[in-house]
Amino acid sequence: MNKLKSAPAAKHNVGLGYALTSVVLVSAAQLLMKWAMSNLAAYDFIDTGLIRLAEHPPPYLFALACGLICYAASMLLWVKALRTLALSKAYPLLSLSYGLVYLGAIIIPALNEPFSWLKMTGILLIYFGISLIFKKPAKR
Amino acid sequence: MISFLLFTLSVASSCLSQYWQKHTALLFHSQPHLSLLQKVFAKPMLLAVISLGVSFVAWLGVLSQWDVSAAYPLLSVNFVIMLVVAKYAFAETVYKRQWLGVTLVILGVALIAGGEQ
Repeated sequence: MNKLKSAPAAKHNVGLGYALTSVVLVSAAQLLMKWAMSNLAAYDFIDTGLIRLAEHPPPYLFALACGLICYAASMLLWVKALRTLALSKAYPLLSLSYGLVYLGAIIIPALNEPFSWLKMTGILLIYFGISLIFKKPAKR
Repeated sequence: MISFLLFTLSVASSCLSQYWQKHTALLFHSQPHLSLLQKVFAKPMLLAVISLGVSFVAWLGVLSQWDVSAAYPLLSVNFVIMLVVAKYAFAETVYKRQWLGVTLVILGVALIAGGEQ
């Protein structure tokens, strides 16, 4: 039955898949990098010595590397998504990652960021704003 | 204070990178027969990659100081700046609806930034 689907629709779905994966990856990247950086900030690199750090890498360095890989992968998928997906769909999707990162940051115990209605309202406004910026112009 | 400067640097160089990415795309479009090596070492491509790198490193500095739940959505000022760049540097048409969208983004950013003070 799937073969009956028109080619543009199938392409669009593939693009949607790329975009959603990209959004999840970029959100994961931000959370991983945040966890890594807030812990690495407490490190005294001169005292610890970079060589000793290289011999006994703390898990934060690993998390930072994972974050970097997720970030790069999300960028590649994003470019692929944009080939078939309209900007009017893609960018509102991307701004969903603000919500995902926000949720992650307050739910994940290691990050433990405060919940706030103000921030949530701000994220919603940004979402609607980006939807308006990338909305398709009305057909005449 | 330092984190605010890092944030500004990150946003500015990310916008600069997008500016050069657009130039890279225009160059590849106008000269479709460039070799891979010529593409990789084209001036706009190099500038796009360098400014992306600067933006990324500055962003890591921001993350070490600020809550990610606030800092990350603040990055959407990018959309505001790029719409202005699209209009004035690339002569793209910007509709009223898009300015309205920009206003909403700025309001959202102001709410988040204000709440963090």
